[in-house]
Amino acid sequence: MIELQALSRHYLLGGEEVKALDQFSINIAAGDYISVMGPSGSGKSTLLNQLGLLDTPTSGSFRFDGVETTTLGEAERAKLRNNQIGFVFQAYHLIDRLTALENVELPLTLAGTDPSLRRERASELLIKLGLERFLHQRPQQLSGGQRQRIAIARAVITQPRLLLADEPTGNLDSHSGASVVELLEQLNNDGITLVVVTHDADLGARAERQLLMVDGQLSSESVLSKGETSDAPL
Amino acid sequence: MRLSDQLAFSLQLFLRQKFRTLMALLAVSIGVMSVLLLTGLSEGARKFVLQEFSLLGKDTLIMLPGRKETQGGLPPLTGESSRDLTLEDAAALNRLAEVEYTVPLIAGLSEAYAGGLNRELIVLGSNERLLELRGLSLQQGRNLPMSSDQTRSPVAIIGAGVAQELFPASSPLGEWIRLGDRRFRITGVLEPSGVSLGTDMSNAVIIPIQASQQLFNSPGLFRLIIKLYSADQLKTVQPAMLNLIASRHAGEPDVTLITQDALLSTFNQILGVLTAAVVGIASISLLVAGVLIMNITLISVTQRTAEIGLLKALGAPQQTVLGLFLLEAGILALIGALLGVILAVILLTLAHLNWPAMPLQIPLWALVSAVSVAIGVALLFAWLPARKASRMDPVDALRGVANAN
Ligand SMILES: Nc1ncnc2c1ncn2[C@@H]1O[C@H](COP(=O)(O)OP(=O)(O)OP(=O)(O)O)[C@@H](O)[C@H]1O
Ligand SMILES: [Mg+2]
Repeated sequence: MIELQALSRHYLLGGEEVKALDQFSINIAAGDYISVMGPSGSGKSTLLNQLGLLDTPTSGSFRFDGVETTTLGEAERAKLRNNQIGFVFQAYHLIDRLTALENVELPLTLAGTDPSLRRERASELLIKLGLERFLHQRPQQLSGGQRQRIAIARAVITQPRLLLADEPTGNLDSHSGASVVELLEQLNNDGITLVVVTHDADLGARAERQLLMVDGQLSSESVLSKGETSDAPL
Repeated sequence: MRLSDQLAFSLQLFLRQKFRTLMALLAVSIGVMSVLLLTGLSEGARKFVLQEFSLLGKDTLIMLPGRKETQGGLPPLTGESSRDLTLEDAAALNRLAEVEYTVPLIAGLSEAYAGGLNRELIVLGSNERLLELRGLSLQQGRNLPMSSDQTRSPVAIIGAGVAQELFPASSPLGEWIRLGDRRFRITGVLEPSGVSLGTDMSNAVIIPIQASQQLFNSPGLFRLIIKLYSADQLKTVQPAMLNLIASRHAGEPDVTLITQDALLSTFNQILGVLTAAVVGIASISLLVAGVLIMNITLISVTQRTAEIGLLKALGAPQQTVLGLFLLEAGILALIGALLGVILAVILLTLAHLNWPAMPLQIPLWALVSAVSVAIGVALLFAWLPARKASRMDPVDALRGVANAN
């Protein structure tokens, strides 16, 4: 589904070139569960932003379902972000003045979906994910773990094929973190391709493919069989 | 994104930021209101003046003694001073085929005595056609005698205000009024009417022209109003009149002819410039409102940087982000402008109640342009910050860093 070929992202920082992502190559298949680990500043977020089409590379190739994305216009990239990619942030980024339901609807709202249809889809999703209690609550009335699960629902409301999460448990205690991880894995079991950036070794170890990044490059990858993952305790 | 969703999005923001929203509404509404109030007032003044002076019909000319250059030079100071315009001149003009009738005028102030009371009055010497020409009517009594009637009867018509002041208790008809050293019998009282050609007729006395010549000891007319049979002859008859006057005044056409159109267009020009100046000054307040909206949009963009990043990450294209911020400014301007219109209408209506003579309504052009300028200014000023928002890098914006590239 995804082919990265020698993808680089360089920043100019005070006249010095920082290679946040350096000739990075990887293939990701539909349904993969990938964790990305590595020291701070190793380029994990940079990689995720590239995969999420939030940022453009300095050089290299990124094919999404065979389509070269690096030459797409901003409007086409926005469209792909809207219906093919879901993003989960460490800081949730829910809109305070909207209810949980309205937050979940937002990607559909932006896409111009009919209001009653999107309301129905968002409620169905929240019920399916066991979040129906929070439907009409506002983010500030929810705990961190609850907020992050609402944010995950928002990320998958358009039924994207790729779900990206940048330290989704970074702001959470272990119990809330576990509920978030559970939800992400449930979505992966339902078929979504999942890429999680994390500092949490236990969480990282649950993925089928575990990438270790150093200095913008792929340092190593270890592969786990499906059987091992499901046994590991949360 | 649907327009209805964009509207809902903006509305939720306004509810969140009541104070800021209120400030913007206030600024825009004050701007629009002051433009409308000032145009309403100066348009009212313009209409008022035009209405007053259009009492002179399109088929009417005014002849003044002395030659005034149209370019506004001084009247001739040296050489032969101009001759008086006389009743004989009027009679000669009256014999022109195009002329229906002429109304001579002599005006002056005189002390008036009646029934033990006295006051200073405007005295107009004229003939029986004056009332018809000016659209005045009598409340009681009868008009001046025909000027063909050479009896020079000492009679007077008094304004309604004069009647009330000098004869508070009884009917003035048949009573004597003394002007200077002459006595006149009152034969008519005018209907209380407004101001005509700049003279408050309610405080005037009208006497036969010959009597006023004696009263003010002046054979010359103050002005001569000439009524034609048809307005079509207005242009062609003027040279004939000047020729006639020249032949009677030793070859000099030493009079000035004024038409209603010339008079009105001069007034119109002066008052039009006045209106424009006043509107220009008021527009500054619209500009101030625009700057305020720009600041509000700028603050909004800065405060909502992370939200902009989120919207972009969720797939909002640039024009959606641009549209959201422009819509916000546009709605503020529209609601503010409507409030301003309502305020202006209320204030002008109150003013009109206190000052019924003035036609104080807001011209449509002012309404349309004030509202559209307010919205235009708001969009124009909001455009820069909105474009900045739409061009933000989503990764930077999500981190709360507001610099666009
Ligand atoms: N906008 C930017 N401008 C300049 N340098 C940047 C920018 N974003 C990232 N970098 C640099 O790129 C490198 C990789 O950053 P990145 O955020 O991808 O690291 P990370 O692995 O996510 O780190 P962390 O674990 O701390 O989140 C770092 O050296 C960082 O300083
Ligand atoms: Mg990071």
